[in-house]
Amino acid sequence: MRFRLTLIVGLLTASGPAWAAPDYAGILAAGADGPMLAGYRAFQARATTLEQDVQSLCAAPIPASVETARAGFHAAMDSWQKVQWIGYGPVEAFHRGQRVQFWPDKKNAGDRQMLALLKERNAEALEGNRIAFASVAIQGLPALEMLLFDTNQSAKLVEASDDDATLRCRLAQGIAANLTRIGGELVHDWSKPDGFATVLKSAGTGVNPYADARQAASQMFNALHAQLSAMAEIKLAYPLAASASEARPSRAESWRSRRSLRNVVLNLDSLRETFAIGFAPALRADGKGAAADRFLAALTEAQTAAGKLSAPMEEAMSETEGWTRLNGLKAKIKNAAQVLETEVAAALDLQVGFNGLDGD
Amino acid sequence: MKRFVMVAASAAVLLGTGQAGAAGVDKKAVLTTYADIAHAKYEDSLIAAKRLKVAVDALVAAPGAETLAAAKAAWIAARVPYQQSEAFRFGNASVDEWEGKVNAWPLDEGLIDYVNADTYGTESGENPLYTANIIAHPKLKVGGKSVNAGKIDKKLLGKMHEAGGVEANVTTGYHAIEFMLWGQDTNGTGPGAGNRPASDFDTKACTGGNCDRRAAYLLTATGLLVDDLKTMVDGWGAKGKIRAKLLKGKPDTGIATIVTGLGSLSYGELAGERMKLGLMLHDPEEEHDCFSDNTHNSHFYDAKGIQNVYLGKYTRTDGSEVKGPALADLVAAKDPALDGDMKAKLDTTMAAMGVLVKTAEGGEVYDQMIGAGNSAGNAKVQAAIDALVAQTRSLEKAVAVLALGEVKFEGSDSLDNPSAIGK
Repeated sequence: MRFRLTLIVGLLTASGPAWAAPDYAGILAAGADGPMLAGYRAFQARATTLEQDVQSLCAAPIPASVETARAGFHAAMDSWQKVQWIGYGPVEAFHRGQRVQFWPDKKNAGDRQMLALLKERNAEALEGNRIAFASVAIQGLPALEMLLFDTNQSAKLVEASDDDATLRCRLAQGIAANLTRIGGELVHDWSKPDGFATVLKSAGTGVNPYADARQAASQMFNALHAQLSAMAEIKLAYPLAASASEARPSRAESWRSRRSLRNVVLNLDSLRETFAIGFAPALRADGKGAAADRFLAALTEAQTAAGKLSAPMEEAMSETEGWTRLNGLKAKIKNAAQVLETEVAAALDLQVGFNGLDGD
Repeated sequence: MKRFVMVAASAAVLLGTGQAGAAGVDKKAVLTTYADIAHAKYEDSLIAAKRLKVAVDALVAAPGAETLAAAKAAWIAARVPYQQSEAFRFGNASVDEWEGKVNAWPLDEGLIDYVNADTYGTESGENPLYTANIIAHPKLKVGGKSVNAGKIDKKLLGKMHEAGGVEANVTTGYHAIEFMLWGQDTNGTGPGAGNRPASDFDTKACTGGNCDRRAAYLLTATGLLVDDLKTMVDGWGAKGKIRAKLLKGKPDTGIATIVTGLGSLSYGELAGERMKLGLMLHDPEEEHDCFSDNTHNSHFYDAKGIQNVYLGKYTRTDGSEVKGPALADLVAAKDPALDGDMKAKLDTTMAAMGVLVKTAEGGEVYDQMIGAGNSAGNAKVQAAIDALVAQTRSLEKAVAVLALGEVKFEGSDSLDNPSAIGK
């Protein structure tokens, strides 16, 4: 199945009409100094801890160390999921976003390349900074997830006498160090004096890639919408397929660590936080709080639907009841995207929006 | 395969500007040139496919190094006009729907024939038919149901194409034939293409097993390609339905179709899916013509097709020219500087693509260029991607000056979508 996301790009570069200009600069400042920066800082911190956990695992390769490293992985992935929606800025440079998480990987490049690497026993090629120049599919969270959560691989991590364990450890350490490095770069490039937060906050003035604050706010708005579409179409519809019997758990985002639903929950939390801190106040100030409330209510419905699922998505989707609930969650997310691209877009005077469309 | 579609709603439409055409350029004439070039490209593709069929017949009749080399040469020649026709794919729904039968890629070649498990693997979470090997198995199971594959014919190949709803299950078209002729490329990002021996088709001294079925497969797939291309030649001919639809519709809708095709191929398909993704993954499987190592030409002629549609001037395989009023004339009438900019961007792209071809012909082929650690090769590929993205930006400006309304470009999640916004 193919699907399309339709992005409607307004090529108008002039600012919106003066009579109804929302406080775009306020929206940008609230996001740039608020959840976006905090999100990258959290990711950097969690990646640093994860790196230490992996080092401890390699120093003492026992099952308890594997558990600690797995917990470290979950914490790092938690924080990444909260910034995953930010598809622009420092994360675009040097493929950083793809390097942290190459996804979706519909052609199994990650598995294919990791297995080849392990077979070739070529860990040296990935040590130090060299891993940053390797394939994006073998230097980030999904590659580490394979080593830590795939039972075939993780069993080989704790057999200390085995060359395989040494190899896997060196690889896992290389990946974790790479994540810490990227986390640091993201925070630095965002928060340094002439960094991306400054670019956003001074949009339209001086030497700046944005023509005005409206354009930068459009991009942010678009990114929120793109995340909702990706959640509905790639995180849910793609593995769910047409029925419980056709569902494909291994298509879920983090199927090996069985945390794919948790990813969606965190995405929803992050979208709510970002919207509530910048867009919602701007709308209320313009007397358009109703549109903000409708979107927040739509998010609440999706969050409630997610809360009703108890089993991991990877199990739930293969049973009719679980599949139906997940499909319901997908519908709620689609509805939130719909509210965002219609009512909220109009209220913000942004000729910007995405439409998720099926079929090709 | 997921695709993002970018829709550029032109400023003019948002401002309510009228649809007046560019002074002195007849949009119907532009559409006629466009259809004439489409017809010529598909006809050239058909002629080349028929030559390929002759070469393949000769190979099967007398398998040997010479007949195999001749068939490979015919395949490479067949790609030249076809790749130039890809500029017609997006925008024309009937072409896009048809295209999967002839140029689907990438493919899980283990569905068709034997593969080296060391490099290919033995299973895929995505595709239950990853190593189904039609050639070796007269009986197949698809989604729990038995399929009789006793006779390898057009019906069977049609049935198995995209079997189980998996797009990588490609049984027909150029790339299936390419795999039959070259075999799997087991060299990774090292030098070398696929290396199938001619004896794989030799029923008397058979290698690889099932040579009769393999020969039948090759003949069938090549015959299907000829059939499918004929459909397109007819569709764009004087009485063809695709031409008629284009010319009977609103002129601006037709012009928007042209732009959609050029923008989508430039941006999402070529720059994104076919180039950027492979560069990020340093993955030889991401090479468009991976079995034959012909990807440099494949990309070059895609770009050439974009250029000659914009200019309205196509040089046919036999050297004759098809030309007439074109999109370039419409843009020039509205904004000569923009037309100049667009032409310059197209030239830059062709120069960058030329570098790829020259590098490949010098012995370093495309899958080596995208290899990890080959910073010089990576930079050459990146330069071509950047040039394609830049020409898309100019095309977006053309959408605005021509006041075409909503024009959809195929995007790609490998490219940075957000940066496209508002620029």
